[in-house]
Amino acid sequence: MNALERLLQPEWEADYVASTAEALRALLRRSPEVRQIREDYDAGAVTAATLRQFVQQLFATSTADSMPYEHALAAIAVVLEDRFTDYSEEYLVDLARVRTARLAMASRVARTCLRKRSHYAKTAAKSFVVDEGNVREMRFSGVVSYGGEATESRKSRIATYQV
Amino acid sequence: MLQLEYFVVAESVTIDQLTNQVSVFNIIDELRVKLPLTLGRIVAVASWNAEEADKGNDYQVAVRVTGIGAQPKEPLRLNVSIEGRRCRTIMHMQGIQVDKPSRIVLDLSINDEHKATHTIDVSGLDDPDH
Repeated sequence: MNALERLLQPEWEADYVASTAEALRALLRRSPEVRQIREDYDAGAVTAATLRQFVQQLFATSTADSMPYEHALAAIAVVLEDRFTDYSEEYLVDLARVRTARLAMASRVARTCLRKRSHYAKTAAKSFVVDEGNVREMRFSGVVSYGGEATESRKSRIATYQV
Repeated sequence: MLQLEYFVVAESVTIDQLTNQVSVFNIIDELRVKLPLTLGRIVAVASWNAEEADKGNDYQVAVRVTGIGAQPKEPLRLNVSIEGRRCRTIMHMQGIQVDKPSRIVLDLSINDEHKATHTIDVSGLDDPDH
């Protein structure tokens, strides 16, 4: 059973009970499953597509009154809190926007994650062309980013060893 | 006011999308080249530390390039809005022309207050002094 599947076990959910979103986030950050999923995500073994599909599965089990795997959703938010990919932003923002009682805790955890995330360095960038002393701003050409989300066709396997 | 952590001029910079770590490649402090030369692309990278009082404030970061023939008539400006504890500014520049051996001076300022200088010594391939 992989780490994502373990999030679906009732005993896992029972281990992570907290009365506030801050406390739940702190508990989840220490969870072996969250750490493992983060490592798998970094290595490309778990991709944005994997997580998207997993989340869809969770929602498929929900009813109008209940969301059985709310803590699993919160766990994914914690996994993605300090990962700066398009999917992580989309997931956290979308979950933080949700205002429904059955997802209240997961949504609050996502909002907490977004608040913590805002402490990380932001980058502002601009490109200029200097032509005979005249300065012209270019439409932003972007900061080249590497290490983006691995797709199914472009996976990297990265192993880290501690000696 | 933001406090400067570092300021360097290099060939390129990347931000790791997963970890938000910055990598600066080939810091340029001297160039030995065939003159005249048009610098294809250089990038001025600065990192700033913010205090609680800076949050929500807007700052204007500027880089003035001097020491070359057809130097930019005005500083290159970039506005930043402070949200977290740290902010990076990255300014790409293309087309800077160097006609003769010289020292290119890039002065970094924030809200018109000078903060740092990066210099690039440029010499020609046939310059007998180098």
